[in-house]
Amino acid sequence: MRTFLLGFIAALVLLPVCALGYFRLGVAETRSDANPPAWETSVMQSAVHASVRRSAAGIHASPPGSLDDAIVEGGRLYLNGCAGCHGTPGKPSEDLSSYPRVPQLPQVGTQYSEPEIYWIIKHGIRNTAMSAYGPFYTDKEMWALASFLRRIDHLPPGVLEGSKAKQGGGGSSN
Amino acid sequence: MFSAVHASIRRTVPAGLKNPLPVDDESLIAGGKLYLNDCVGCHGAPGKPTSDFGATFYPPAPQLARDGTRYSEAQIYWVAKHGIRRTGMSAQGPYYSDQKLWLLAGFISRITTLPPRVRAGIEEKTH
Repeated sequence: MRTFLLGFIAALVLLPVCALGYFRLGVAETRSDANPPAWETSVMQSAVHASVRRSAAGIHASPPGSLDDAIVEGGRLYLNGCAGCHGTPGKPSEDLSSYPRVPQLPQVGTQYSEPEIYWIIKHGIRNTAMSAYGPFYTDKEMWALASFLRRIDHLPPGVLEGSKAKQGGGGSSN
Repeated sequence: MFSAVHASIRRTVPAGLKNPLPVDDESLIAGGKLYLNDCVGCHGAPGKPTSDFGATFYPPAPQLARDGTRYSEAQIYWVAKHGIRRTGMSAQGPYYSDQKLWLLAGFISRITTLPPRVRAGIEEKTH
């Protein structure tokens, strides 16, 4: 029993010392142009997903006047502000430079619900390249984006054409 | 986190890595123009208010134009090329030639102490 306790205490001390050494000596890799290992992606993604689910639980979508219009408007905002990192619908794309990798949404879609997507856009995701857009978009714009993103890999016909046609219309019209 | 990133970069960047380009007004202006095209959005422009967009990342993007950097030219080159994981700093290696990365590194390492001629030069004809 005594040996067990001593071992337990030694481990408690050793663990932080090793962690500190690992970071202080610069052994932790920093470059972002490498593929994250599958276990890391899976652990981190499920942690983020669980946290977003918890944070966005009380949020309910404000019903838009017309869902079709909101999706088209969301598409316009997406093409202007998100496609640079997340990919353009219909064009093959791959992110090789951010760590974790930026999801190429037109190809992979999303499992998040609309309130969760709205929450992510507004607040961003820490320790990723996803910054918070709350200061730059109105609530209405973020809900429109969420409506579009929820359906980005199975868009109703005509949506993308509508979004592209509106694209010349400028920055942040409501 | 800062000290872990710093230590890792110090460890990884080869000791002999040096800027192969001469650093003069001309190369600083060229680097400055690249910076104004692609880095200002997050890292701030010399003589301007800091970037609101850079502040929305976690960790926030360092305001290089205001605060400068403690990294050496070679380390800046390496960071620009390979990025820093779990931050908004993605790797620019796929998009920039080595020459452009060195021009940027030369500029950024002197960003808070630019000669007036360079300051004026980078403002000219920026698109």
